[in-house]
Amino acid sequence: MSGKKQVRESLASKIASSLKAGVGEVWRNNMGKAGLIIIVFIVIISIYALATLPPGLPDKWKNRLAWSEYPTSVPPEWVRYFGVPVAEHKIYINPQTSYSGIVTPQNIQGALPYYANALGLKQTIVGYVQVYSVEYRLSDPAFPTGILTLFTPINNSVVIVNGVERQVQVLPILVVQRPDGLSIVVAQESSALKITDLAFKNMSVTADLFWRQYVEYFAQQGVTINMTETDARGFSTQMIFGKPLGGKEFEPLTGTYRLHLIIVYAGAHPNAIQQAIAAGQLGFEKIKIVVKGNAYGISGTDNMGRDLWLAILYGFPVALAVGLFAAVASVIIGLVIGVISGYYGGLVDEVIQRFIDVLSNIPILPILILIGVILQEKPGVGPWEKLFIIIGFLVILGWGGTAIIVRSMTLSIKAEPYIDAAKAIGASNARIIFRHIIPQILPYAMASLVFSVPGAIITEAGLSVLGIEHGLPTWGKILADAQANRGIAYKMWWWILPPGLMLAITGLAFVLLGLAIETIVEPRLRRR
Amino acid sequence: MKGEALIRVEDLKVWFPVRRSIVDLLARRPQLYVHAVDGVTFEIYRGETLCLVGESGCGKTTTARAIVRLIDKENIAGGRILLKPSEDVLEEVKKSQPDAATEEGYVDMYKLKGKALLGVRRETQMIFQDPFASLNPRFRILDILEEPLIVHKIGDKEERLEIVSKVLETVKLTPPEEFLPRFPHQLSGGQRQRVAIARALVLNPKILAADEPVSMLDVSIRAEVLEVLNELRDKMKMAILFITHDLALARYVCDRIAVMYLGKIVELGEADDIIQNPLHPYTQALINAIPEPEPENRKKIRKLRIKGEVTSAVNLPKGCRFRPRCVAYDENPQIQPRCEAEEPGLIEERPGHYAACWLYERRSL
Repeated sequence: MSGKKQVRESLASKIASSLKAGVGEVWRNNMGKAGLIIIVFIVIISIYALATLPPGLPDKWKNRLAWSEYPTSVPPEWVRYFGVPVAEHKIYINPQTSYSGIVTPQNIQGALPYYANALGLKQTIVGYVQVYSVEYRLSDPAFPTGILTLFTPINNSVVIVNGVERQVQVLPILVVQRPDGLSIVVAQESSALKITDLAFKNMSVTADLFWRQYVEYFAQQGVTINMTETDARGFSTQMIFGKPLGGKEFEPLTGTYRLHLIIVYAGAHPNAIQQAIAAGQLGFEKIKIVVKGNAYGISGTDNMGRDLWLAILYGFPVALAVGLFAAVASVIIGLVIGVISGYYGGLVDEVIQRFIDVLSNIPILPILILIGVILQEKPGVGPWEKLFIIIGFLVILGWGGTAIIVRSMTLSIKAEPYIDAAKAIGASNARIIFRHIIPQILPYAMASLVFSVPGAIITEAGLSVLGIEHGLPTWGKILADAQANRGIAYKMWWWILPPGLMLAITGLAFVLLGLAIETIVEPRLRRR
Repeated sequence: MKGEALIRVEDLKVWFPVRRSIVDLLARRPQLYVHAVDGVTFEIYRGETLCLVGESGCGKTTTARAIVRLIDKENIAGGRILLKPSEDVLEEVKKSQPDAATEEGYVDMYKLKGKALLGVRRETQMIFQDPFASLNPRFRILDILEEPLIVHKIGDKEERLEIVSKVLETVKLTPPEEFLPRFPHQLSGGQRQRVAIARALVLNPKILAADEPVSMLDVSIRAEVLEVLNELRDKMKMAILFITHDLALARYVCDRIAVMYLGKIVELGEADDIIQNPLHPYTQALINAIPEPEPENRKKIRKLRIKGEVTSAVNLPKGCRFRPRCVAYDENPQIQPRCEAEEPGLIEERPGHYAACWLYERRSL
């Protein structure tokens, strides 16, 4: 037979061609096109997020200490383009040494003039000294929110001098040299430490060191600063990066700041230390100086300094997984049970329908809250497991609506003469269901699947806000944190708006797609 | 021309329960039934077309559906449908379900189940009224025609295509390869109905129930479908049950006509005999209602020999069920007590011509 080849199609090519036709049809619809474009974007971002985000992010998100390098509660950096003055967030890794050598009281003025004349000077220093210097440009009149120094020392604190082991100790001092020429010692350990112990130290600035001298210095210039030591602690960065205006008022001082990290080595003869450092046996693998800005990244940070952009990114794949899993699962269950209910009728139908009546009258929220509480009390359940248990209950309690509609569609399809014809030729129930009924319902099921995606995503977010937490950094989790800190969050739009917007856009995309599919499934809805 | 009867319907009763409300249940009102078919007996011989004629709701479609076993077993309130299958099918039934087979080589349709039923289904097929609804719109013609073969596990892909192509030729859809890849909506009404006939023929059945196969078609394309059906009867010696409400059409197509009223056959006989000499008052009224092709005659206002509305099939009147509408009942007071008391059976007024009316009982006495 010559027509055979064209007539027969494999199941795979049938599915592929109908899928292609379906996507083409959606694409011709403006709403569908918009929805598809957004969804493709969401998928691309999800893949990007999965590929680039560190795998330990969920744990890191919960760990307050992991975010100390970040400024807390700051808006995104791009607010600069809307006229908000921004002090840049800058991280200096392994800065240049501007001086290394032996410092004595005689040469200190020449070697480290910024230190010799600094405010807050505790003692004069003697010994082998390395100075790491960086420049920080404050171009906008804004205050940075802190300075932090982190060390990764080489794992050795011993030098051998004439066959005798000697413990090397170090004293790190951070001096800020301001554009107006004034130098301030902003951070200093109270005493010298074993060099390897620095690994556990995050050295941050404290006004304790310099506030008295600072007040005196400006008093001489005719500016009266009216603050106690306790006040001063809250104003340390304003004091370092600002010009006092009297009282407790400061004005940002723009210009180039030089930050000098002075490391004083002690415990052995300077020459021996110098040799050990030159030989790479002593010193630092990595030094990091962070000037915390008053703005950060694409999405700002929350009150713990967490980079919200990471959670926004992480939210994409989670939202897709939640939405698609919940929608696919509940639609498949609803489809199968609805078809069975409608096709077999009678007692089966009655039992299923009454069961759905009961199911859809179970208040979903209290049950989910209960389950959330149980999950939080239960140790050893991972965040993804928790998430899917919650979604599982969402599915179990949520397939009823689909089943009811599928049942009524099945009832009307069942009455079609071609079903009678199939019965007359002896087709089995399974054949009638899978070959004749389900293909008719499938387009509707697709539309209902797409429509139920945003519902699932938003329910997940809503549950997070209600405190049913799975522990993953998601959009809902960001909102939940903002809700928990509403006392400050209400002025931090970057904490609330982006996750809300993401939820809205994702929901919109699926609704648009659903509307487009609906016009295909139900051509009477088409408007031209 | 009487050969062997391929199908024998004996006192078939199909009753559908009326859905009861909770109030009915609590009040313990008896379950009511729609008496769709209420004691129908006929047989169809090899190579014969029997027409079932009657107004809508009289149970003719239900009878046809019962023959192909589209009626659920629990709705069969009485009687049986006996079918003469081919030898191999009969053997199969005798082996798996000896209780469903009779000595004369018939099988009881409603005792069959499972595999035996599937085998017998090959012998009896149905053509539906609406060719727009009886073909799955998502199936290509090949899928539609191939399905019966797949269900009955006949042939491999090649052989099935061969069979399907042949059947398409039988119903004059040529060349077959042009029709196979099409969807039903790409065909005309007549072509679709021929596809529906082809689907019924693919399994090579001996009995065909055609439920108003041309009533949804344009008059201009009816002839081609009827031609195909007549050919099947004559060449393939099928027994055809042809359902129609159109007596003029019945005369053209059928060998014998059975007139149904409210679930019962009221008159049965040779087609020409019934049209020319109708016995039952209801048949007379029906024939009276056939439009007159002669323009001159149309101008005369003809008296319609029927009154009132169709009686409900739930609460049947006592006695003759046609009595409330019967003009003869009014005109013949002498038979009235009988009409009221007893339901008339089929009375052979002329050889091979039966009528269910007490008018003829009187004469034969």
